[in-house]
Amino acid sequence: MTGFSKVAVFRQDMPPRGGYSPIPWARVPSRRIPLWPFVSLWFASNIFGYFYHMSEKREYWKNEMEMDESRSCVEPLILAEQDRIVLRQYRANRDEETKLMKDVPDWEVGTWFGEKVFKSRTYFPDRPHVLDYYGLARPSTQRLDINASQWQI
Amino acid sequence: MSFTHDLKLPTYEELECPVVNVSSAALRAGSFHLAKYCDLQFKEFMLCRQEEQDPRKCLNESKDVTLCSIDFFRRVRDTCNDTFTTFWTCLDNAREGEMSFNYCKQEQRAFEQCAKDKMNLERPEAGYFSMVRMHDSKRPIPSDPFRIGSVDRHPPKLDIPNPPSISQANEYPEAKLGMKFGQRKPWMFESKLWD
Repeated sequence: MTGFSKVAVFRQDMPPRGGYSPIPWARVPSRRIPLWPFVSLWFASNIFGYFYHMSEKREYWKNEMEMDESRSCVEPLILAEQDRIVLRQYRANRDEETKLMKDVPDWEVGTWFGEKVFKSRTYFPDRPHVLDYYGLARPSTQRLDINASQWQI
Repeated sequence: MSFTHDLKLPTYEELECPVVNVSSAALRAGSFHLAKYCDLQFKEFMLCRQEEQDPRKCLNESKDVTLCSIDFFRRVRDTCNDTFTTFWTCLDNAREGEMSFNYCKQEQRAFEQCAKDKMNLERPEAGYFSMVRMHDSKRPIPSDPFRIGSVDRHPPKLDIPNPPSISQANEYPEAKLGMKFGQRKPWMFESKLWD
């Protein structure tokens, strides 16, 4: 070793004194909340909710039945009054028609110039028909029953 | 419009009858007790209507119906007016405009109590008016005007025999397929009832 008077000093990257601290290699489970309270709550609410729902359904249908029953209780009275009103109107219509068509030749009341609507036997409808009832009324009155079927204005 | 002079329409005198001067809310309020009170007349009228299929022939029954209803509402007015009025005004002002009984249960109970105490009228249980109710009347059975078939009235009491027991099933092997006594599988549709 000739010609070297000074030696270069360098530092090596060495571990610290005492060595490194131990590496934590064990498993660290995550923070969790327990599942059993939620599951049990859900299950209990299912069971209680089933019985509650059944009772509510029963109550609901009882109320619906009550509404329908009240309508059918009152139906005979409504029908009776309706029958009389309708028959009165039919009579008025027939009289009005005779008055109107008195001077028209070949016109018979209730027919189309002698041609009957119901040909074989005398027929009387059990349910009132819109045309029979409103036949001779003014259009504003006819428009009142516009939701009835078989009605064209 | 199709009524000729051949057809017999009743005269105005025949159709004269007093009118039930009661609003729709009051009708709904008193409907159950009304049907209980006027049961006979209602049933007679509906039977007549169904058999004759002609409103002209049921005029007397319809007058009975109206007169009985007027009598009922007069009685209510004489005895139970306050509870009845609160009840039907409550129905009139109910939510949704449907006159439903849900919102007026208290007033309904009060009126029913009053009817039970003063008028001696008990409202039948909830499903009574939905069930089929038989009626036999002294009016003669009409002829069959529309050739429907048999217009006969059922007697009020039907003799229904007891259904057979499971032990009897072995005696009828033809009944094992399909209509099984006691052991029914409603989810199985057996098209052949017997061989």
